[in-house]
Amino acid sequence: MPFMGKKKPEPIRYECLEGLPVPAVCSERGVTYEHRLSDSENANSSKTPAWLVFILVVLFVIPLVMLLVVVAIFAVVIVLPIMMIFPSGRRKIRSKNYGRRHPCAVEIDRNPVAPGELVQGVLHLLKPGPAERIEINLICEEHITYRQGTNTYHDEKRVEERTLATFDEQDLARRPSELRFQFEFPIDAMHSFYSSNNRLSWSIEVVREYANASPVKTSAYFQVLPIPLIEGVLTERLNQPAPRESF
Amino acid sequence: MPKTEVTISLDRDAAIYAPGETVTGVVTLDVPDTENVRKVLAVLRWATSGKGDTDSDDMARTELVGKHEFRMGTHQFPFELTLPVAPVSYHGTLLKIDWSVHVRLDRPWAFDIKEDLAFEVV
Repeated sequence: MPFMGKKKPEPIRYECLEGLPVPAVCSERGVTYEHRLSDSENANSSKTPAWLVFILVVLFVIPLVMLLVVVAIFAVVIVLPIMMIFPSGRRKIRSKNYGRRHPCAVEIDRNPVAPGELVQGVLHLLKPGPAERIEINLICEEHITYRQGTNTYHDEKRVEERTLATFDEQDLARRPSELRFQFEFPIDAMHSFYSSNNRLSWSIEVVREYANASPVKTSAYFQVLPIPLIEGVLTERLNQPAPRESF
Repeated sequence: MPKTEVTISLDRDAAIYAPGETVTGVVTLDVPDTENVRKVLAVLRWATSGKGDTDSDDMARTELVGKHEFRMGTHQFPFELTLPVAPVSYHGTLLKIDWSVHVRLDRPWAFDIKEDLAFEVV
């Protein structure tokens, strides 16, 4: 049976194109054109005109930048020198500087901690500073939030404070990069508690005292388990001691 | 019209429990007249009090009775609710955490009747 439909066109042979005058590529490197095409159909319609952008910048951005510059100049030229006149101001400025330039980090061998457990920790002095005395404290704080009308207030109260370790001038003479400490967590301690407006948190507070600056305080928060989990946690951890490489 | 009285009593006199324990007791309804209820619920609830805004959560609940019409007299319903591991009772400076058994009579077209009985979790 012969083929009755449309005759299938023969494919174009590329050899035929060889002699045709194909135009040269019109784009050249470095040449730009007036109309840049967008990847959206209506992109050009919502384009902000340049004059509007200019007005917005003049009205808002430039005054804001000027205000920031004025505030910065005021702080550096007027406030800082005035603070430096008074000894307390000097101490505050120096302590801020020390806190920023000499950061520290606290590591403990377990988190969460169960009441009654022995906890080992290390204070890393990432850039040892000229601290004269370092005190490590165990802190329990209550944090609450309350609202009056449309205002929201926060309050906090330190309900437990125990000194875990103290390092004096002799300990810090060689500018150690780490200080180790250990403590037994109180067996009768309240566990960590978090709800929307009320919080009870445990932390390790590092107080670094300097000769000519206010003390710098840094806190590291950890979790405390409720009492019924003690037995399970303790037996599990006693059988499987904490890894030493965490120090 | 006299109101139905709800009384909660716990099996333990001291009303002190450990986390994870089961709180058992009896809810007594003293009905002076007929009383229609949708349900009677018993709930274990912790709630904070103190300076901050209060928070609370129902940690265990049981429906003692479904839709029912109580006749005049005294009706008793035992309940059993298991405490979670946390939080425990706490009386701090700014924050207090208290536990209670909360019973609610859900009544159609009337205010619910509620009753609480506090206990300690230590």
